[in-house]
Amino acid sequence: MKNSIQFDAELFENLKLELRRGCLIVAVLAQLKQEHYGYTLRKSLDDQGLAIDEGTLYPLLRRLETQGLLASEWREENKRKKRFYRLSAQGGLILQQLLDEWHTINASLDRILQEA
Amino acid sequence: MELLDRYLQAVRFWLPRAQQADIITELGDDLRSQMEDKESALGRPLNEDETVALLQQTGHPMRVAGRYQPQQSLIGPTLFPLYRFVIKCIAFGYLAPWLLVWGGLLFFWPSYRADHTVLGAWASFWSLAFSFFGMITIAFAVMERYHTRITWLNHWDPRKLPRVVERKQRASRVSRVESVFGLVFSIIFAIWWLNLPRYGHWLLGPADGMIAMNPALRAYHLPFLVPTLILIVQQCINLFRPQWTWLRAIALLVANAATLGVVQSAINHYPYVMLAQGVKDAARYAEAEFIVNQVFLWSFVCAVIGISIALIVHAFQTIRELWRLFKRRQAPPAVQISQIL
Repeated sequence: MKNSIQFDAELFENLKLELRRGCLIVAVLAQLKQEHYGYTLRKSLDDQGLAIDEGTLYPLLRRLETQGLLASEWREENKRKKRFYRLSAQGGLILQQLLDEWHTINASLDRILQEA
Repeated sequence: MELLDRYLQAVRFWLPRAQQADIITELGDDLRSQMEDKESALGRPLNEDETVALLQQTGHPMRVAGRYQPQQSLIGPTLFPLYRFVIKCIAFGYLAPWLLVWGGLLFFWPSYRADHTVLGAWASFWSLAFSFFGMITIAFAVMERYHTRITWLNHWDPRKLPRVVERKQRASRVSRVESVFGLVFSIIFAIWWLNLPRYGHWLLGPADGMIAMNPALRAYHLPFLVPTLILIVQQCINLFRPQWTWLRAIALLVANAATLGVVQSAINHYPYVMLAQGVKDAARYAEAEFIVNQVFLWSFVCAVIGISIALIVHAFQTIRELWRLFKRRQAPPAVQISQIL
């Protein structure tokens, strides 16, 4: 019987999604140190290599706002109503702690990968 | 833009009413901005296929709206194991026995077969099953919704968890506690049973003196005690020889077979109770006689079904125990460390 290892694309996608989930929160919080509305936020993240679709971003923004990490306001720009988001004071504190955690994990992961 | 408006209307349908306006405005602005960017790049308006492709890439309206919902599952991962456990308990502890009893009645009882249609009973089984399933699911969904208020999952003590039971040890010995309790209950039952002819009429309650046992059943009084006596002997031996698990298996098998034989023989002596001689107002008590006989009859039927199932289980256990005994006899004797040193 042939014992071959097959690449499971669906499994990989699910694992990638899990890996990205936490990172996206940090990226969105960091990017919102400057005020953005949804589309420009998406574009700026995309420009820096972190593509995020609207179906993921907008619910995430709402959740972060409900948790008090973001503040938002509706304004008109180019004759269209847009919702502008920015990091709240509490969001700033949480972001710093998350970045510390991120660096710790990254350093640990580097050590593990060097040993492996 | 008509396609975009239709798309946004479809998303709106699946959204919570309070958030519809906000979400649709924001999502609409995003999609319009994407379209404008593409149109600027192409230098012309998007055609229908390109708009369709963009909307398809955004996702099905129901899926897009679903991401805004706070809770996606009826029963979450914390409560789900408990939910599955309760469903299993109901399925194996109630529905499966229900099905077995019903099947037994259908196969062994012609009068039941005449009064009940298979389809009707089958329908009532599924109705029962779905009712249980529905009620349990609703109860757990409510618990899930308010599970933050359930504190027993947060306050627990590892010292209160059940002790570890060594599987091998459990399988290779008859617990002395089981033997002692079995013995006590067997003796109590035997004493009660032996005194039944003297005081048994009390069981008839207000019908005492009006109805009496069928004299033919007296012949079964002592034979009914035989299975209990077999178990008393087994429990006495296992108290001192707990490693003889094969004895328990054989004793249970024989006791079950004896009980089944006695019950099956006794069941043919219908009516089990009859009106006492010289009773006044016989017509009044005829109904009570009928009810008591029916209770006896159905008890016997249930007993036959239950004992038959137990007999099959104990037959398997006996074969397994005897096989283990045979394997142990075949295995070379264990060498003790003291013999080596």
